[in-house]
Amino acid sequence: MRIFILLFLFSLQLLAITADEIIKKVEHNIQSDSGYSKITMVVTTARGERTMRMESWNRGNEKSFIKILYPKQDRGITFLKIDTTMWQYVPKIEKIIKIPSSMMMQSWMGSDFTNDDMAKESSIVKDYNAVISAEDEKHYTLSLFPKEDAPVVWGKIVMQIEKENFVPLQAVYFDEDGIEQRVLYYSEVKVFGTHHLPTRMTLLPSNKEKNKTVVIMDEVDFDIVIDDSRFSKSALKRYSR
Amino acid sequence: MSSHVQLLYFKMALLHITRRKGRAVLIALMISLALIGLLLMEGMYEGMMVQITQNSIKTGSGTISIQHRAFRADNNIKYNLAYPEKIRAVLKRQEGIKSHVARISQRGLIATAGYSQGVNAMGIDLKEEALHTGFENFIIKGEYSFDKRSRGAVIGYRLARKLKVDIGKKVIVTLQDVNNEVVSVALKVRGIVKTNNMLIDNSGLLMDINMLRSMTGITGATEIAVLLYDQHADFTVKEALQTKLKDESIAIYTYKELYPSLHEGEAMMQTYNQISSAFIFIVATLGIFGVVLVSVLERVREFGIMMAIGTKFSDIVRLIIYESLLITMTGYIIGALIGGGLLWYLKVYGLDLSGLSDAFAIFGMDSNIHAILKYEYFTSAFFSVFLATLAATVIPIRTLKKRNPIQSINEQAQ
Amino acid sequence: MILKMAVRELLTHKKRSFITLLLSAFSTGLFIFANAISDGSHNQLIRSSVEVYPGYMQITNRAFEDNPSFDNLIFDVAKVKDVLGAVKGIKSYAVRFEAFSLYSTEEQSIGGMFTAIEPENEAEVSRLKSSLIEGEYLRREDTNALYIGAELAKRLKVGVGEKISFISTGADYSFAADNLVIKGLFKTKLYEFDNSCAFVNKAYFDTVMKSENIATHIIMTPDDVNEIDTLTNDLQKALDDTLEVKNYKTTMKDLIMAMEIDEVFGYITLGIFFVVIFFVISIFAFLSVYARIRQIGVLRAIGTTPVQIVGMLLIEAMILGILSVGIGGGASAYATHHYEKHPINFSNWGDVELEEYYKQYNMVAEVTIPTEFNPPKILIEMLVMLLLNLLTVVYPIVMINRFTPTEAIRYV
Repeated sequence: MRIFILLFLFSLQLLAITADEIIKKVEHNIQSDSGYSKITMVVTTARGERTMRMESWNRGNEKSFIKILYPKQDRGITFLKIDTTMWQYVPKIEKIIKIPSSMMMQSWMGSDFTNDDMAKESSIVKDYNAVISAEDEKHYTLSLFPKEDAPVVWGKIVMQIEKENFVPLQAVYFDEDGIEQRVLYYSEVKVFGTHHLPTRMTLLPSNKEKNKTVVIMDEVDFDIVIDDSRFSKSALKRYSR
Repeated sequence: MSSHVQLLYFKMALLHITRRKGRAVLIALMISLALIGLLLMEGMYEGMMVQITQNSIKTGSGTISIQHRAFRADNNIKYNLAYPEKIRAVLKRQEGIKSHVARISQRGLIATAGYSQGVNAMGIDLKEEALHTGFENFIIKGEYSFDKRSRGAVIGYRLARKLKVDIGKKVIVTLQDVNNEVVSVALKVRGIVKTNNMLIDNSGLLMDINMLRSMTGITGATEIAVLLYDQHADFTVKEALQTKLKDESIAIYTYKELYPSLHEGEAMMQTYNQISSAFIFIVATLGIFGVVLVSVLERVREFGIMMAIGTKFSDIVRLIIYESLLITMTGYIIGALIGGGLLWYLKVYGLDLSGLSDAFAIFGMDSNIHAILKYEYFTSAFFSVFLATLAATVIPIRTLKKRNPIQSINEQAQ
Repeated sequence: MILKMAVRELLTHKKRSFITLLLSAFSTGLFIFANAISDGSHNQLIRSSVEVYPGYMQITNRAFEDNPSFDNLIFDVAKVKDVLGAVKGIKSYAVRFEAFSLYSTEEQSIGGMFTAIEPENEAEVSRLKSSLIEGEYLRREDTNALYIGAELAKRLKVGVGEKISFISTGADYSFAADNLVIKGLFKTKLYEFDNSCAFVNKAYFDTVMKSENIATHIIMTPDDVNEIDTLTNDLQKALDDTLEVKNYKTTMKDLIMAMEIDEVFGYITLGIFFVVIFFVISIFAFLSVYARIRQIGVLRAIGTTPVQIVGMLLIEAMILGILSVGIGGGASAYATHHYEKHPINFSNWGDVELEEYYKQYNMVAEVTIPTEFNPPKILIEMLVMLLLNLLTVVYPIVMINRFTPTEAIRYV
């Protein structure tokens, strides 16, 4: 009898959670309100492998500042993103450039991410409607469909999330015709306080077999104080050195 | 000469012709065939040129285009017409204007998950454009609609091909607003057009003007396209508007200024037609000349007898001219009827060359070409045939005079 | 005997013969010359459009057309150059690397093509060098010198000697950026091209874009354009499967089709013209036979067979035809040959702005048009005219044979 009650309560607990809530918890894991991280990015193409190292500061989803540390030729390149606008400072030519619309679909620093991806690290909650499309003992599978007016190119994103800590495991991106375009794998979860963060992300474009971009979070700080001035155009040059 | 005698001469002319049917038939046939060919040539070529011009004008600038002075050199959205309604109020009262629409044109980026390229985004008002351009006639797939919530778009067929999108599919359009910030919108493809205006077919996207306004942050328009009843009144109307719209920031262009090549193309075609027609009539005159000469010379004795009994030489001349005109004018009438009929048919139903569609699109032509029917074709042809006939009789008549008809009565029959 | 009579007939009626001869000669000449101009102008247009930049032949990675990414490049240019050196029939070749970059000045950033060329070789395969309008063309020693389209320079508001920066992605996907100095401006009159392209020396390009021994295109000019299809096949066989050889007939298919359509329109106009000429010559032939009805009647009466009559008439037509076609054909062949070497200059003909006309179709306009001297074609055209001449006597012959000899003799 007690088992039944337990099971019943348990299932109620399960039923109680909505897709949106799952997403929110996932976001809590991977996003900070005021954070810092040191990142290594490895881009693999048919012609070899390239490694980049960078630092990143962010204020929620809206503002972020990135500085490239390595390789030496790219050292000092900085990026500023405020909402969906992006600026870039290139020390070699001593210029601050605003990324125009014509460049939005160009690759970011040669990776499989585009400028658009970086600009619209959009809150998934804001742009997509989520439904739980499958579930088993250990995982939720969420299907995310873009909201009616959301300016995102994807037709559908299917995410697999680990139940226990709401850690994302993978996200598959489909175009409007339902054809798989890319897969993002999350792995090497580390715990930072209440955040369970997968510190390794692997992006595989589906139509270029030999291509791969791996992002590794070497250092992460979920709650640091960041001066507002860091998220300004003048910061681009100032913090370049 | 009394009308009774005139009729007599007329009958004589007719009689002579029936005696020498062969040559009359040849001449009449020559003139009618040449006329049919010329009519078709003129009508079709002019029809083609008009079509090319119309395609650019209608879906593009209009006969007259009103823009911000600096917009033509730098398409930045900040160079917009802030109060298009004021301008349009003036247009409403202007004579000669058939219709006008306000549009916003901006270059941006169009993207799907797999492909992206530059796009010419055109913000239009669906209802107004239907009366002005008739965009809905160019729809080849889907419908002419932007959806209830203005989230629909109509794109050029070649652009659709490259993007690999079909009706119902989503595209993301990214532009810069008036503050140079990047803005994006998701639109659903509702229709696909083939306008034969390369700008639209290859990289054009039509969307709701108000949607584009809210995206770019302006309340006005980047251009007002005006269509006139008479294409040739463009400069007059432009000047009239310039006085009425005394505004330093506005520039008014005629389509000839925006597309000088179109006008030149028309001029070239006309010159070409004129030269061809001239050639043809000169040669035709030769043919007529030959026949008239022979038919005059073989009747020298006949004419001599007529003159001996009192006919004036000028009456003989009249007879010769009547004969010639009867033949050539018959040819003219036949040619005009058949040629005119064919041309009328081609005007209404057009000539379908859809196999060559893609090549024609390069010229901005549809594969279905409609001929033009102008009464000037017939009047100028009439005068040409008339003059050619008269010209052809000059030498034969002079030759006749030299031969001295009366004296030749005595000569042996040839 | 028949021949003698034919000749005598022609000589007796000199004026008539002369006019027929003149007409026929004139129309033959016109026919040949008009076609020569038409061919000449079409071929020139195609040539110009091909030579200004696209080139006669190109080699690319086979997958590049569908997916122009840096995964699909020509990865061993040196090897291809070896093959090109060994294949016969190639006059010159040049290597290019076409990339997209963001050009920026203090005031603005505009995206455009950023292409590497081998300056000296490029001058042999395209008209980039001769399109120079200001400043200087590139040299093999140049580093960050930019050769930019006049319209693009206008949009960026830069001139010769001024600085501009570019940002792009290197061939190895790395980040590439540098400052450039405008060395020269070019104007090909192809608006789209002048509005979006700029070039640098490949040696320099390779250092910033990491593209040594790599290219997107290799452009070639053949020794003989007429042999281009065989050459394309030969070259394709000599290269490995990852590469694709194409010539302008494929890459500029639309333009060629458009020219063919224009040719058809030309033929139609000529056609009308020839209908009239045919009739006029027929009229003269008709009249001449007509005038001799009695004479022919007498001939028949004394025993000449209808076949012989027909033969005589045909020989007359033949003589006139051969003479006139010969004269007309000869004269126009000479003119065609002359104007091939010294193209006709249209710049003084009224105020037709040929340049503007062609600009809207993205074609390059020339103010001179050469005629095309094609002897075999001319001969065929002459034969056609001869045939036409012979056809003009058909009706008279039919007509004359309707008369019995007695009717003919009595004809008034």
